Amino acid sequence: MIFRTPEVIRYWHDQRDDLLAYWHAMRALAFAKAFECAEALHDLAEDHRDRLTETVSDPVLNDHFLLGMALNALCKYAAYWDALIQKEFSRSWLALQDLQDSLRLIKRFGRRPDILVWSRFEQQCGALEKMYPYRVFVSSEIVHDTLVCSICGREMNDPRCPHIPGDLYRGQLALGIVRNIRDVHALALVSNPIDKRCVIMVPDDSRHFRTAEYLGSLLLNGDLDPFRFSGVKCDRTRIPIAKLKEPARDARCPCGSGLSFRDCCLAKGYIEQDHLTIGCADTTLIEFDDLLLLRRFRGIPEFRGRIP
Amino acid sequence: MNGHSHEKPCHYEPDTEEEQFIREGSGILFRAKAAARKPGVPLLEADCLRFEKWIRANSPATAVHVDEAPSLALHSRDFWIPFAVLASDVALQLYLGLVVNYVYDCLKGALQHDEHTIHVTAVYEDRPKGLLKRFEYSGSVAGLRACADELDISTVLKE
Repeated sequence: MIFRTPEVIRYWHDQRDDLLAYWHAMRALAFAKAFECAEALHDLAEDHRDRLTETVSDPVLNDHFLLGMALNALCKYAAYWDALIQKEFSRSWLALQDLQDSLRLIKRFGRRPDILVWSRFEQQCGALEKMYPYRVFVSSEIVHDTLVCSICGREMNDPRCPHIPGDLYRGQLALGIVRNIRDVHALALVSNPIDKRCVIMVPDDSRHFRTAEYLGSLLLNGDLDPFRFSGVKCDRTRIPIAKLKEPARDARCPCGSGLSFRDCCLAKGYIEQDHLTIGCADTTLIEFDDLLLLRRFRGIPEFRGRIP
Repeated sequence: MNGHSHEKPCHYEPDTEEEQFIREGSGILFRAKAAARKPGVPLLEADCLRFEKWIRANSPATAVHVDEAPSLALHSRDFWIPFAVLASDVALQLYLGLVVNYVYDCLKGALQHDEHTIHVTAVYEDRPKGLLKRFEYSGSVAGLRACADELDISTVLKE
């Protein structure tokens, strides 16, 4: 369990019905509905946190931060698959980045974060990122005089500011806010920025999204459960020409090279084609019961829908 | 130790201020250095402020001094550790240990597929020889740890 304090664990369990509604909506591929469920849970948790008094301990407030991140991750997870089946691939990329940002914070501050549902989400994110054509990103290099602490408002190099950027203090993440920008050194194309949202745009109907489109079609056809998706492997496979309806010599080669069949694969006796393998993990309902930390309720009511 | 570049510590000609700090100062001095794209403008590396605060919080016995200069803000997953001048009371191995621990701390939230490269430069005194040397490393955190271990062993063998 990622939470440490009984207060937040109890709060999480109290949301059981809504978490189940999210789970069932996801399984029924009603991603927009799942998003609404998670968003409502997120807003509710924020209201709950806002009502907490000053006397609440640091661990409880930090757990509330984590709770917000967990619910945010569920929102973004639903938003991702929703965008994918809508063939809005650029939007799906943004949702994927949002999801990963939440996962990083869960992993950083959560208890036992590298097990349960979060590590499966993490593996999925890694696999899903590979499906996208984005390889370079736009990033900036800024020269500044001052970083101001988001918590105490002092300059971060002021010895009176004890906050280290990226650490959690009473449920607040310390950030350094850049002030007094002197110069923008560069807007550079880089391969490994913190923020991968700023990309070179590719239209959603581009062939570069073929893999993502195929994954979306598998979902819609009921051939894939999003919770079970574990990876995509792209390679080339050889098909003997004898097994194909042999193309005309002057026709375009079926391997996709753009050359004529005669000048391309005819002499080889086989053609090479892109081959896509979609990995499917053995995630069961009971496993997810564990993953969403609902185990103490001894099972989730069985869902009867068009799930493979 | 794949994918990293580690030059063997080599002789270094420090400026007067650095030499004085190495011989007479105490702790670590983070220096602003001219960026490749803007020669002549000394800047502090992107991780300078966070690393400085981390050292103060986690190794309070180590004195840290920082040049007064503007900082670079990058949006890279790489760690740009500032150019460090180590006074005679801070061994290179100790400093690399701090860097490794700092990076591991930052990486607590890293996802399995996140990639990180660390860039470290430090100037120190090779006491047995009385020479000032420069250590430079660019690569993975595991590679840096291996470098630190290697330096440790060679020190033990010398002694």
